[in-house]
Amino acid sequence: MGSTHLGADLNLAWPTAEIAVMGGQGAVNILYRKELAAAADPDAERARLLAEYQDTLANPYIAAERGYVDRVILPSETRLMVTRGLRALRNKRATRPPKKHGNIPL
Amino acid sequence: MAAAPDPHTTAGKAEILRDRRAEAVDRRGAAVEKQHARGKMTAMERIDALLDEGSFQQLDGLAKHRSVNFGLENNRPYGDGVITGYGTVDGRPVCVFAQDFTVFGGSLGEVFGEKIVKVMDLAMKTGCPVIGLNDSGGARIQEGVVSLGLYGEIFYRNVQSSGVIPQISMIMGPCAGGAVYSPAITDFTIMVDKTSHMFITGPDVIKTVTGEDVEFEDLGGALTHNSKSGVAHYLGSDENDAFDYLKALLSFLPSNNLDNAPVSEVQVALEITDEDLELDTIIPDSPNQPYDMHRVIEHVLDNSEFLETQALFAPNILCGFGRVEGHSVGVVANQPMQYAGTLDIDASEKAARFVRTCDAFNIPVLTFVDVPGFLPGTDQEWNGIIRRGAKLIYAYAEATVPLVTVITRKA
Repeated sequence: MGSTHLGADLNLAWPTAEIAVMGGQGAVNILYRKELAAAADPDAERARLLAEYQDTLANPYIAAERGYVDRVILPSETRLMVTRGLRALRNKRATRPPKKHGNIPL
Repeated sequence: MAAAPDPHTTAGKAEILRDRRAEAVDRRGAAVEKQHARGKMTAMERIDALLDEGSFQQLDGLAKHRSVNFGLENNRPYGDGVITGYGTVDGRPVCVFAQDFTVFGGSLGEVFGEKIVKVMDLAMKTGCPVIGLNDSGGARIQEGVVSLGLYGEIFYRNVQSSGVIPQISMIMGPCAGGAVYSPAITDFTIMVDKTSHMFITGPDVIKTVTGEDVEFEDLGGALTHNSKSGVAHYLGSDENDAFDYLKALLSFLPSNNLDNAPVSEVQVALEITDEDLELDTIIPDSPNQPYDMHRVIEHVLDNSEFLETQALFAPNILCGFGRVEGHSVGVVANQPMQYAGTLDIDASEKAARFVRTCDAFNIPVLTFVDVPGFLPGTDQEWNGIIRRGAKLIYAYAEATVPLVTVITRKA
């Protein structure tokens, strides 16, 4: 929702953001199905892998490295950043390719 | 009794006009009382409640129907059951039509329909919103196919006007059968609790065809359409509350697609305030613990004012209007308090429609994201979450208004 790849002009993220394909639980179950089945203590192993996944991917910085997120901001900075962003975008001009009309799936 | 005015003198002609005007003014005592007893205002009272005092200019007040079927030729009231005209709301021009349930049950005949068509055309020519006050028993049966033709003319204009001028429908009584499709095409539909109903087929027809037992209120009342079907955008506790919402809504919208929405004068703090700092602790440490996204939105908008649309429908996504530095913005936000903020069919369609409404009227969209994903399940899959969820992607990708996104947690 509202990602730069879909045309958003300014993408801000809080430090609490987790920008990933899916949540940690689901990801660990898929990525490590065999390992978890073979583990002596599957629950402990799952917890370890989950922590590893979250430390690696559940943050805004991977997206920020690639510029998918324009800025990582403190929540308290949100109002100011949104205000300045909208001010900067006030004269935005964008055109769509000429067509009769699109064909939104109704 | 005074002598009849002489139609061959100027003074007499003026007198005749005065007489006709007097006759055209509300004179249906019993019907008006009945309307009031139902908790409803009359068409003229509604116009007075909606428009700035003294601003209303009526059109076609002397129009009469031309039907000669079923004894209709003996009853030809001025206005034909609908009051149309123009005026202002908060000083801004609007066109309005108000169906009058006290005349032929507000039924739509040829002249009634032509009056609505005329005022819709005026709204398009002048680029101002058109507001429909609906309170009608449906097509005027005595006038037959002509009445249906006029419905078609109205739908056609609803579609041509879509995305050009704001169109808002107030449902303040019955609105049944084909008549529902004009409000359905307009940008916003506001219903009044207990006194308004919308349905394609009523309880009797449903009983006959399917055997299903359902009451008017449950089938198509204001609560049903606000919470279950998503047809309505606001549930007014009474008619005045509905008008207050309508006026607030208009204040965020431009008069037409080439105009800008009104900008209010505000002083916003240009440094971080104590209220801003409250947001630093809003996200709980546990990813499964919810928080109220309303609080986040209110911390960002001017004066914490957020006018929600479809608040009771798909509450897992929030849509509505506010202002930032006095300028209108449309807000779309996941709500972690409901279904953990997952997207489902209803939420996707609600937000997609809202984003397109904003885009059509040049209102920037501010999005707050905390979404774990789509709601899993056969119910969602079989009802078409693929094609219906696609609308949200389509709406965002198609929008050319400024788009600002804030990711608060899951994205």
